[in-house]
Amino acid sequence: MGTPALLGLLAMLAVGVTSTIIGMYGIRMRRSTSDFLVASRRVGPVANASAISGEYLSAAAFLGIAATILRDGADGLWAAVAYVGGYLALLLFVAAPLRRSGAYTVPDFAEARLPSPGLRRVCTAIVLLIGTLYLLPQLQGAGLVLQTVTGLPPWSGAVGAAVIVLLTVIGGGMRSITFVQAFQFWLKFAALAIPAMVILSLFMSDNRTLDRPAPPRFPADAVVDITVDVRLKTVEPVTFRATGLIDGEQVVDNAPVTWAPGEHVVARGGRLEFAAGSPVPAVFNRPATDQAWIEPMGRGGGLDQMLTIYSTLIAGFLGTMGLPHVLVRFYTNPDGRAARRTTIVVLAMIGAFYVAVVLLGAFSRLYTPQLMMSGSDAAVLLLPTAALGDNVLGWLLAAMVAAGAAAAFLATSSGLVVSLAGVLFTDVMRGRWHRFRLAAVLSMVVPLALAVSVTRLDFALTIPLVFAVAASTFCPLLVLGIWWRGLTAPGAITGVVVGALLSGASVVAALFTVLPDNPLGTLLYRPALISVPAAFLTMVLVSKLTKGSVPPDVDRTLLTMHAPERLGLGGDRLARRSQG
Amino acid sequence: MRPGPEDDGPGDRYDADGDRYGDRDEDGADSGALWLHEEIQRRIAAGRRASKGRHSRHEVASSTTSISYVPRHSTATPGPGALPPEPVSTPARGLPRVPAAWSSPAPPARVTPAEAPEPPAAAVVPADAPAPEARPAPSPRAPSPPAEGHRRTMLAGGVAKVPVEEQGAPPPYRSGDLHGVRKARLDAVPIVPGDPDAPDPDPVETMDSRRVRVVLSERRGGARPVRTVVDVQEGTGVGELLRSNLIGSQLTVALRFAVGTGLALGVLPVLFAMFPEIGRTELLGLRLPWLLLGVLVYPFLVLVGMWHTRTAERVEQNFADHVQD
Repeated sequence: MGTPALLGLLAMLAVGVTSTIIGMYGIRMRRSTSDFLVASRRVGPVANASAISGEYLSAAAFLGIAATILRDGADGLWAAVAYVGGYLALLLFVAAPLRRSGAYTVPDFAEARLPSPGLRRVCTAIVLLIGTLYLLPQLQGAGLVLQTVTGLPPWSGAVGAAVIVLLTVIGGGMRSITFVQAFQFWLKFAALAIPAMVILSLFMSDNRTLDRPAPPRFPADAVVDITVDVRLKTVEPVTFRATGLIDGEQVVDNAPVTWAPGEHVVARGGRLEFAAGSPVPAVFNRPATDQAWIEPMGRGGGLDQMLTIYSTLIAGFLGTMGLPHVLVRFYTNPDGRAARRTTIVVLAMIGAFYVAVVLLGAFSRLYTPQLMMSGSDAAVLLLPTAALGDNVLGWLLAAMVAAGAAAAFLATSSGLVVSLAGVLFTDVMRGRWHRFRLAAVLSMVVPLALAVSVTRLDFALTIPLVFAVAASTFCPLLVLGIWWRGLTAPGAITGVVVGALLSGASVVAALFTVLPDNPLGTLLYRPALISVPAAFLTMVLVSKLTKGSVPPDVDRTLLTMHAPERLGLGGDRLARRSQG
Repeated sequence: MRPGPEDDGPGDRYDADGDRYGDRDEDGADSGALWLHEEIQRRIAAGRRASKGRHSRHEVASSTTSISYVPRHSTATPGPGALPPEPVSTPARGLPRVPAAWSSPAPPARVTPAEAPEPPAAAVVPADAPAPEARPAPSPRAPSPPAEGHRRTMLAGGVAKVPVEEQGAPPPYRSGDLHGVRKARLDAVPIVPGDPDAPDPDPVETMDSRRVRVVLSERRGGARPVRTVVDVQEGTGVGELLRSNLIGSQLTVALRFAVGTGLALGVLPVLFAMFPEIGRTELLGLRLPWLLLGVLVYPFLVLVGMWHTRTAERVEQNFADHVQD
C-alpha cells in the first residue's frame, strides 16, 4: 500500500472515528425515547437542513451523477436536476402538511389518514423494500471507494461501513445521528468543493478544451478491466492489446487487436491495454466525440433519449418524498412552518453541492476519459491524482474526496438504518426502546448480505430505480392523502401495490436481464413515466369505486394537516401516544 | 413507544413559537377575499339563529347585550383542585388550542372507523387544555370576583383547565370525564339574540360566570382559546367553508408552482432537440445547456421554493385571520 492509499485510508478512518465519537457524545444528551427516535425536535433549522442534506447526498448518488456526466455529457445534467428538484416537489406538496400530521414514518401517516391495518402493513413492507434497495448500493459504494483508494477487496468496505453505521445508530439514536449527519454534510461539501475549485483553476490556466470533434484520448497508458458485458463504439480505428472474449472471439496473451470504427462487444472479464494517445471507445449509445458530449441530445434527440430524460425527472421529482429516511427528518422540525424553511435551506445546500459534482464530472471527461468504458463510478475518486499528477497535492485532494465519499455513504446508510429500524421497531417488533438496537441490526443484515454477494451495478442504473419505486408507491399515497379527501383505504392499498408491482418488475428486469435497446427497454430501466401515473390512476379509480369507506373524520384529519399550528388545530402524535 | 419520565419534548418550544405567532398576528393585516369574509359572517349569523350551540369565545366575551343572560357567579364554585384565578386584566394572548386530532393515534386494532368519529375528538379536548382567549379589558362595572375568574393554564405540571360556564344545571363532571368536558365547552356558549356583529358594550360580565376546571393533560405549552376554531373543528357551515377554502387555495398554489416549474424545465429537452443551435451557443464561457442545467437551475429552484413558501404562508395567514376575526 503506497502513500496515496495510506492517506486515503487514514482520511476515511478519521471520518468513521469522528462520526462514532459524535454519535457517542449524543448518548449523554439522550434521555428518552423521543430523544432517541426523533431528536426531541430541538434541532435548529440550519442544523436540521444540514442533516437532511447530509443524509440525502449519498455516495451512490453523487458518484453516479458524476459518472453519468462523464458518459452522457449535457444529457447527464438532468439526473442532478431531478434529485435536487425532488425537494421542490416535497416542499410544494408534502413538507408542511406532513409535519403537521405528526406522522413519523409513512406507515404512521397512512394509519393516521386512513385507519386501516392492511394499509399500514403494505406501507411497512414498501418501506423495508425501498430501504433495502437503497442501502444495497450504499454499502457496495463503500466497497467501491475502499477498493479504489486502497485496493482492499470490496466486501471489506461494505462490512466496515455497516459496522460503523451500526455503532453510531445504536450508540446515540436520532439525535446524535442529526449531529453526525450535519457534520458529514459540511465535510462532504468541502471534500468536493475544494478539489473542484482547484481543478477548475488548473483547467482555466491550462488552455485545454472539452470542445473537440474527436473522441477523448488516453492521457497515459491504461489498463481497462471489463466487469460487466459491454458494447463499445469507436469513431476512429483503434489498436490495443487484449485478453478475453472480444467480438465473440477468444483473445489470449495480450494479443494486439484493431477495431474499425463501429460497434464492438467485450465480454465480462476482459482486460484491454491501451497506449497513451489512442482514442477512447465510448459505451454504445453514448456520445463518442467530445463535441457530441458537450451538446445536449448527443444521441440525436430520439425517442429513447426523451423517455430517459423525462422518466428520470419524474422519478427524481416525485421519488424523493417517498424515501423513508427523508420523511423521518421532517418530523424533527418543530412545526410546519419550520419544515418549509428547512426544505428551502436543503434546496440551496444540495444545489450548491451538485454544482461541484457537475464540475467534477465534466473534468473527469478531460482527465480520466478511460473510465468512460468501464468503472465510471470511480471517476470522482481518481480525478484529483489524474488532474494534478502523482504528487502530494494530488494525494491530499484524493484523500479528501475519499473522506467525502466515506462521509456520504455513512450518512445515508445511518439515516436509512434509523428509519428502517424505526419501522421494524414500531410495526414489526412493537417493543420497548432497548430493542431498537436489535431492530437496527436486523435492518442491516439483508442489505449487507446482498452487498457482499451480488455483483455491483452502475449507480446510474440502480439509484434511479430506487427513486422510481418510491415515486410509484409513496408519492401517490402522500400527495392524494394530503390533498384529496376522497382517498379510501382500499384505493390506497391497490394504488401502492400496483405502483410497487410495476416498478418492482422493472427493477428485477433491469438488474437480472439485459434489456433491449428500444423504447420498451428504456422504460424498463426508467419505469417512472409509466408506473407513477398508473399508481395515481389506480388509487383515484379504486377510491371512487369504494366511496363508502372514506373515513368519517377525514375533514378533521385534513384540517390538522393544513391549518397553521398557532390555531391549535393540530394533533401531536408523539405526545398523544405517550399518554396511552 | 413510551417515553421516559423525563420526556419534556415538544412542549416548551411549542409554547415559545406560539407566543411568537401570537405577536405576529397582531400586525398581520391581510384581509383576504372579501366574499369569503362576507360568506363567513352570513353563515355565522345563520348558524347562530339556528342553534345557540356553538360559536366563538370571543363572542362569548362580547355578548353581554343579552338581556336574558344572568350571571351566576354567586353559585359558581371552583372545581376540585382549582387554582386561584388570575386577574381578568391579563392581556389576551393568541388563540386557544382546540386541536383536531388524528382519529387513531393508537395502534390500528384499537380504532375502527365505525367507532371513531366522536370519541377521539372528545378525548383530545382536555388534553390540550384550552385557556380562555380574548380576555376583556378590566371594566369598572363588573370587577371579576377572584374565585370565579378563569386563568390561563400554564402550570408546569401539565395541569390544564377548561373554563366551564355555569348556565343552567351543569352536568355532573368527573375529572377525566372527557365527554363531560367537551359538552361543557358547548354548553358554555351563552344565548346571543340579535345581530351578532353588533358592538358589545360590556365584554366582561360573561367571563365572570365561568368557573375553572382542572384537567390532567399532557405537557404542552400554549393552550390558547378561541371561537371560530370550534366551528372549523366541528365542521359546521362556517368551518366547512373555511376548511375547504384553505385546502383548495393551498392546492391551487402548489399546483400552480408545480406546473410552472415543470413546464419551465420540461420544455428544455424539447427545445434542445428541436433547436440544436441552443447547445452550441456560448454564454459566460459556458455552453448554454451547461449554464442552465449545471448552475442556474439551482438558484431557480430555491427562488421558486421561497416564493411558494411566502404564498402558502399568506394563505394560512388569511385562514387564521378568518378563523380569529
